[in-house]
Amino acid sequence: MPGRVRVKILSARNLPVMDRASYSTDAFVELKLGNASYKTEVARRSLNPQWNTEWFKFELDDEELQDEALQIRVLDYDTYSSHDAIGKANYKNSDGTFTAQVYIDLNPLLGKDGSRGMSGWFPLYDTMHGIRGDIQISVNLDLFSDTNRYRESSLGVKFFYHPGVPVGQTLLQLLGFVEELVVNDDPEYQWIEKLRTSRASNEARQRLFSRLNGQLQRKLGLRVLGMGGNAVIGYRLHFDLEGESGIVVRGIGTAVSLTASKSAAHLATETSLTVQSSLSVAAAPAAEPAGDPAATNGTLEQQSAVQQQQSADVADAGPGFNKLLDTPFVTMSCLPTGLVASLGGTVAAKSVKLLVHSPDAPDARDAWWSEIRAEVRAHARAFGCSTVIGYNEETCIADDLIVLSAYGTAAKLNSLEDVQNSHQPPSSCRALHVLYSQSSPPFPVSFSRCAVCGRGSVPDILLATSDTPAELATCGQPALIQARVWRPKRDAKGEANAREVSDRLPFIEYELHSQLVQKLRLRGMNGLFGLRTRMSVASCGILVTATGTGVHLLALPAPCEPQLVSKGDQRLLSSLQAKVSEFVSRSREVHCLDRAQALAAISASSGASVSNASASNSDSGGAAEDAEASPPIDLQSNQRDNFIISLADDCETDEMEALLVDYPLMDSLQLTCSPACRSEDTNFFVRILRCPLDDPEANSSRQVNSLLADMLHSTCFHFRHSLPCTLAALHFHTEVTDESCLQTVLTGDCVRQTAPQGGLLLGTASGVLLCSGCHPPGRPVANYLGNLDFFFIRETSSVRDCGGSQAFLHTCLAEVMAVVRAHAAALGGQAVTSFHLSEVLLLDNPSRGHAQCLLNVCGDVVQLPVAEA
Amino acid sequence: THQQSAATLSSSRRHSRQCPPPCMNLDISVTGELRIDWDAYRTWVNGLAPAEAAQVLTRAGALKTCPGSIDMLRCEIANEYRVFDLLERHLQVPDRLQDACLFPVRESAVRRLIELYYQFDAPVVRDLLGKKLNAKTRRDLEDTAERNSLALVSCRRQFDNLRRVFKAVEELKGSLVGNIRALFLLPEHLAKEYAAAVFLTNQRFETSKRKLGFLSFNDFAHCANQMIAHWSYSSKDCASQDMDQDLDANFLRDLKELKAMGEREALEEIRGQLASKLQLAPLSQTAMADFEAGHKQLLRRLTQLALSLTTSKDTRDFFLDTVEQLVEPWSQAGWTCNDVEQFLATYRAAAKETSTLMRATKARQKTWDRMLVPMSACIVKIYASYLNSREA
Repeated sequence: MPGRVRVKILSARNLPVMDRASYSTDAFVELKLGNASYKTEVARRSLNPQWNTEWFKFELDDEELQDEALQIRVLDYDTYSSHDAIGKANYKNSDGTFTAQVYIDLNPLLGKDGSRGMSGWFPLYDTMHGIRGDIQISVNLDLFSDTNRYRESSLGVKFFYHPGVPVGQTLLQLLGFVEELVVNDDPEYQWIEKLRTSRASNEARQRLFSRLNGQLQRKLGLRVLGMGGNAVIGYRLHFDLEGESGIVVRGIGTAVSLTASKSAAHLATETSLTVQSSLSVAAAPAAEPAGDPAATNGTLEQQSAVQQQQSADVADAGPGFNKLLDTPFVTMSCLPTGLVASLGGTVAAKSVKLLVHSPDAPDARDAWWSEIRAEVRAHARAFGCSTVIGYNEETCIADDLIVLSAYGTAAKLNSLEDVQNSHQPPSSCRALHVLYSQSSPPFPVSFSRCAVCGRGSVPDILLATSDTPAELATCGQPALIQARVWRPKRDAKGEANAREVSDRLPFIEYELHSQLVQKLRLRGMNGLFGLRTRMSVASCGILVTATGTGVHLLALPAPCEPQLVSKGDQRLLSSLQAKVSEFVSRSREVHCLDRAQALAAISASSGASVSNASASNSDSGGAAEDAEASPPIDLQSNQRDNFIISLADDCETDEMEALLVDYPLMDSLQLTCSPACRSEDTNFFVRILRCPLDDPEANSSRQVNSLLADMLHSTCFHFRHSLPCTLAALHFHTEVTDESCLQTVLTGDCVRQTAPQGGLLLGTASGVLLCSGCHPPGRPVANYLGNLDFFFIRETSSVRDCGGSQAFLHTCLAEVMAVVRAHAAALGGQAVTSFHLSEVLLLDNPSRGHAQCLLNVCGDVVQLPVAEA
Repeated sequence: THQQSAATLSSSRRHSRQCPPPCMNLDISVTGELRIDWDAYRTWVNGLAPAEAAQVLTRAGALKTCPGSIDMLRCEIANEYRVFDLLERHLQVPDRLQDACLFPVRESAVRRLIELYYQFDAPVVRDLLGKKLNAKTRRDLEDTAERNSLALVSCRRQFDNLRRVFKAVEELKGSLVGNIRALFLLPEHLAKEYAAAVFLTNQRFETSKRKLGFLSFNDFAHCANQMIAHWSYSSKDCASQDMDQDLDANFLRDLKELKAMGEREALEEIRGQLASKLQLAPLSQTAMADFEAGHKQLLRRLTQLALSLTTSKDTRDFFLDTVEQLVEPWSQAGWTCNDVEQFLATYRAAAKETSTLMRATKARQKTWDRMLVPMSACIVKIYASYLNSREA
């Protein structure tokens, strides 16, 4: 019995009117945690009742504390008394009962150094009506120490969504990849669903999701403890709603051991791992993994089924870290400066499976993932790299088809100790030097001599899923690069469908890659970071988008302007060429790509160590285009001097033109996928855009492209009053829905360098800032208080009363954000960083007036230092 | 219950603004902190549909700062409107906005949101003065909207606002302006205008007669504020505390005691004093001549008007009486504004020197001033507008 939770209900405000006759409500509160429950007195006739109860006490063991959320329900007394149904029914709201509740996740209180209490106003959330007032609650937790070695709980392990080392913490050990998944039946698909009211069913689902989430964190925590760590960073949580076959909650992260840093010391890394693998290879019929074009040569290595005991090896793993283990993956995308020794390139693997409802679902899922991870590791080896950083796993589900995809960046890491002990500034180019064999590279690429140091050889272009390492020398401003590929397909079922999808994947990957490369070059850039690919399978086709931040890396050769060659209409060609030239020069201007000057600055600062290669480069001076003249004599540079795009026919001319269609190039507006560093003003935003595809079967690739480009353009337009600004930490979630609608959920921060004016923020817990990046504006993070994760369901049976689907969804998003802010405020936080909307599912049927929305949000609650005022 | 009815009103209003066909398209933006597009807010307050607003704003150069199409602008405006529709509920109870609002907004923006929401078009409220603020009046707003070429929704908003303010302060004690400011967080100038409208509505002043058509809302507001300042419970001369929108009962009782001022002897006395004072500082020639010719009638009317406040029926006709009894004859005789102002000042001084007042207590003398100072100000204001309307 190692924990006692004490809860006090103080008061509520702005409750809905339940009795129209007296214009009031007779509210009481029901508290539930684990198996115990309590009720308060009924507060008669008040919309702002006061209870000021005694402390309600719950005694629980660790396991329950982690799995269960405190559930607080406010009810209207009349709905329980029998006379009510007869006498006053007419005065009731159409739906009679009033229940609204709050789920309080106790995990943030369980951290070893965190506070043990929370109190504040929590919005009362109802799945059918949204927020219906607030309730003021105090929660306290007393923990007793537990020395049981065989425990099933993992109190004290902290989870950070933050993709790097949290501010104020020092990385002692990077222990490796942790993953866990829990499978359960989805109540929405059970027979009982037919009997229950929508509210009961939604609540059952929310409760289940919250419990699964608690279980998942507990299990992950156990693994981390087993490895000798105390935290998970770069934590990612996914809810795979597989429909009939249930729900899978997956968590991946990087197990680390952290300690509060005394100075702003840097951190580091190590990789060992643990994988729960083995098992029979999945019974799915069509499992043809399609490699990333960057690594198609990689052979799938049969993974040795290593059943690793959690505690085994870990003690010896220690801080050395080039140990090659089964899953040398790091989910962090932003690694401590100097830790990355070499960046290979993007590695990815996909696998198409069919979902079958079976009792051994968790094992099957584990097997699928092990298989795909083994492939990713094999690809990384082809790059001569032992580790994969910026690693992520995603799924895409369409009926009974599931596409699993894993991607990351092959990299070689330095030893954590070396990095921490070294006093030299990290090299501004070494991470880009290739490690793999240049005579037989793992993919077609050309090499040149590094333009910064003149010694190593570098590829002509680099694609990576991690963020731009801070030490790399770049020039100009970053730019958002997005490739979109839509391939229509036949509407098939089951196995035939799976085969069709997996047959198409390699072609899609190829096109995606070439679009990314061309778009990068058109913008005068040669590096792409923070690359995320998102796939969506609809009955009529497959959509894949890849988004990343383009940068100009000084070490890599400057891309030259594309030359168009065609045997077709020459007049058309020359006008297109003119357009391309204009785009290229405009882009250089907007992104301030002045390579010559940047190189000169580097050689000036590093003095003698700079070789003649870069010196000659800066001498060549003048326009950035001339930088191409830098002569890497002995390397195979023949194709590099000319970037020729040959257009076979008019259709390809169209495609070329489509490449130029994107968001407007503006001096005052930048777009990037990486989080912004420092700013005075950060405003989180969510945009949900949806429009129907006119004719999904026809040549709609172009239509999809222009619709997505329009969405991006309208996003820029949305911020017209905030210029100049940067839209940072952009995250796209693009899909084609069942009704062949194109839907994009875009989240990010609008970042400005001028502090907002106009006094304090008003509204529910509105002092709490949300930001998609890791740095709240103005002040650095002082303390991490824990992670929040909510799965909200909101439904309505009369969209009209909500003001239409748009207003329904709008309110829903605003309410969810208000709930998150309130919980963060109750924990004592002033901001929620790495705030992320990982799932938005809108099912609407306007003709029936019905809509349902599922939302998953997560983030880290942080405390900011007291502002000096 | 007024809250409830306001809620139903506002929801019906929202439907009238909404585009009917169910839209498959979604274009939703939600931000952490709400930053308001004030152009869109103004068009929303004025009741323009998103498409109209997009056109208006495009003409005003909205597309010049950032490349975009008019359709994008329309979607943006529609998105903003959605937020405003959600905010509207809270704007109706501004004092509770703080803990109820879903969207974090900055203080200054909140003040501006409220101010713009409660701002009204003078002609609309002018039309509503003296009317019962009931459903029938609300239905009749269509005429008002058409006459002033305003959107009906906008007129309804103004009606609802006025009614809401009226109901909220109707039963409250203390300063009218103060109450309005505290409940609705309005800036002083706006609170004063509402106070004037509430005062006039509460006293059921006759304002809608054709003869009074030349008076604008501002004229009425000016007069009403004078009356509130001097005749109501919040006047500095008032000792007791009660509701502001009522006239101070003690003052009216005191005024009754000065009835003698309207009698023949007193009037004679006033005339004498007045004549000698006017000799020192004469009015214009035409005014002088007119005064000489009809002084008896003029003085009687003026004094009667001053004493008429004692009965509420006569109070209601204050504006009408002023126009019929004083303004029209003066204007026919060619008095200037200065003449009127000077005449009224002299009249006040002259009356003080009559034996009736000399004999009265200090307090009664004060009552006379308390009566006459605001009344003179009102008459001058009304006369000035009358002359203006004649010229135009």
